[in-house]
Amino acid sequence: MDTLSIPTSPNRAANLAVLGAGLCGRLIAWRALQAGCAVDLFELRAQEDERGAAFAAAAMISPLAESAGTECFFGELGVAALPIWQTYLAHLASATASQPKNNPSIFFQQAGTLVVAHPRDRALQQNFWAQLQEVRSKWQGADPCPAFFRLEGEALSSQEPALSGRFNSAIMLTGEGQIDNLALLLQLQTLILALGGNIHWQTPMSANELIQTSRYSAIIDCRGVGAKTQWRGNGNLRGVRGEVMRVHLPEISLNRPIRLLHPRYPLYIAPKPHQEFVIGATVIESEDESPISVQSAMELQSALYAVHPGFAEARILAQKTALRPTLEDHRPRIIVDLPHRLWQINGLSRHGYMIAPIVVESALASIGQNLKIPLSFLPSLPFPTLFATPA
Amino acid sequence: MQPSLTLYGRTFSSHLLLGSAQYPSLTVLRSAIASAQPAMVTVALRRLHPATAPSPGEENHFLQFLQSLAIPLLPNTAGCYDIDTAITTAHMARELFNTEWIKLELIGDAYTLQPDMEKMIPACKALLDDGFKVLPYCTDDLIACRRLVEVGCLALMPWAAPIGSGKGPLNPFALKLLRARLPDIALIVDAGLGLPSHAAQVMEWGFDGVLVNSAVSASGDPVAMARAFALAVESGKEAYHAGAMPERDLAVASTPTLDTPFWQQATH
Repeated sequence: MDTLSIPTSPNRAANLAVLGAGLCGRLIAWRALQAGCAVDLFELRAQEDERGAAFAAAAMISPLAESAGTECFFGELGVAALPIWQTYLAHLASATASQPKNNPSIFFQQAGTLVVAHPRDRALQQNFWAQLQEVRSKWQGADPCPAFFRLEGEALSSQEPALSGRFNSAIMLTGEGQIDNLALLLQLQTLILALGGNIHWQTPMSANELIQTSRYSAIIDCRGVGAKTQWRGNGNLRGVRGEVMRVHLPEISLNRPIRLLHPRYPLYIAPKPHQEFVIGATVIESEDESPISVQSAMELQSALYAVHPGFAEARILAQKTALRPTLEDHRPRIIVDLPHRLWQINGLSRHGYMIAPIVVESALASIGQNLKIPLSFLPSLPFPTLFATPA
Repeated sequence: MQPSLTLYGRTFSSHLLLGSAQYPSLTVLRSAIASAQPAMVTVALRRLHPATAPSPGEENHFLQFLQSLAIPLLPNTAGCYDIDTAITTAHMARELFNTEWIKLELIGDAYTLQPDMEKMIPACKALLDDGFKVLPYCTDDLIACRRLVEVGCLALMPWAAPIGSGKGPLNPFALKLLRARLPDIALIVDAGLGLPSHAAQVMEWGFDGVLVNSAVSASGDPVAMARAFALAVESGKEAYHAGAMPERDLAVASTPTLDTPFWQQATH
């Protein structure tokens, strides 16, 4: 596409180009528009195309669970992101207050996660408990490590009646939550347009092409796996395949996501609005985006059944496959390439919804500092290790 | 057991093989491999690619990452339950990695992941006849192992315990019997080890090597555990070559007791 043919907006604070209309791309575009910038958002896929990690995700926000067996860093990011989610949701609510029917408030739940294990996997539960202790002892975040404790018998049943009699014990991870990502993504899209942003669907665009045009004060590359061949950071960016399913069942109610311990990857059952549940996700070192395999489908469905046999009657609504953009150390990065006015945000991997707000605000702070416009409300940068210069 | 590990005529200075699955990140995997310096790193192909071979130019970054480590790669046929699939997977591996080496896994039971020895024998034969250097993951059944040797296997990988169970060698008698009865075959204990002491133990019995995956990747600190296993394998190997002292049921004082009256020196 000929970028020179896009009309400029001379009254705006700055002209920004955002590549990729996933979670980060939409958040960055929205926030920049709020701050008075002009934004052109370029997206490879069509508007109705709901492929991509942002749509496939169960959208869990699990600082403790995601730190167990890995690094506290992820949880520290997640805990820092939680209040920013609250701010974002408040902004979204007030921005859409005049049109409540078309923009219902976005479902956001913060009731913790319950971790259970099949009786045969008791060893996994003990191991998980030990890993949580390790997280607590190594925690370095400014906010304290969220609390976790065992729930048994009556206490468990009163918290989660659906599990009554099915699991003797569970581990409650407090402070964890989830969001209705589909509603969020849609609302962000609506607001981007309402604030005067331009979304160019089905428009492949490379960072290099935009750098050549020099019409943008900043180019923010949020393409996830799409940026693989143009990643300027250290090491390789790769896609890690994930498969999820969405089912509908009126008869079972869950008050919070359930995590079922599995030998190979984290499995969550997240209750969504309208009696829907998302079960996922597999983790496979492959960049194959083909539909869910029979084995993965069987594993996800048997997990549902293991948590509650009533799920046998759930109707399968959809399955999604997506690739998690992942760097070698599984940490996110913001590459700051000042000579080219390019910022690359990538590597959010399996932590997208948990950490996007803090990553996005950090990137905005960096961009704003460079453009001398206040773009972020962060008073300081709590995670300087997110940043790197081109390799 | 030779001082260095020899498999199909190729020698390796390390007697430790590492699996590459289930590490918290590639950075940890890279560091664990650097810390252990294994002879080979295994990689499962079955879930990495669709059923058809990848088209040229299509890269899998996980595989590229492994290739960048400059350690010999040993592809395996994990997840295969029948002969044809195992053979197809082996062929795909040969194309992808440009290697004749293949660790053959042909499983007969989903819960114990026990190798199906009946299918292993014709599968090994087919691959060996096709020029592959086959390292079969097998049980500790002497007769079945002998059949694998008869069809041409120069190395075997008998299990210690079910894959990922961390139990250590469950049947020392059977493993030691294999060692005694197949003296000219390279024997690498694979599956079910959990602790470095398990690895040291089988090396002390004269085995040629060990392969571990979960014992390292699922440990609290895979980098440290990888090094611990490397040390244990070396230590067990040295002990075997040094020749262990004889085991006795009675105490034998290491200092002389000439001044003790003879009736106190009874050895019963």
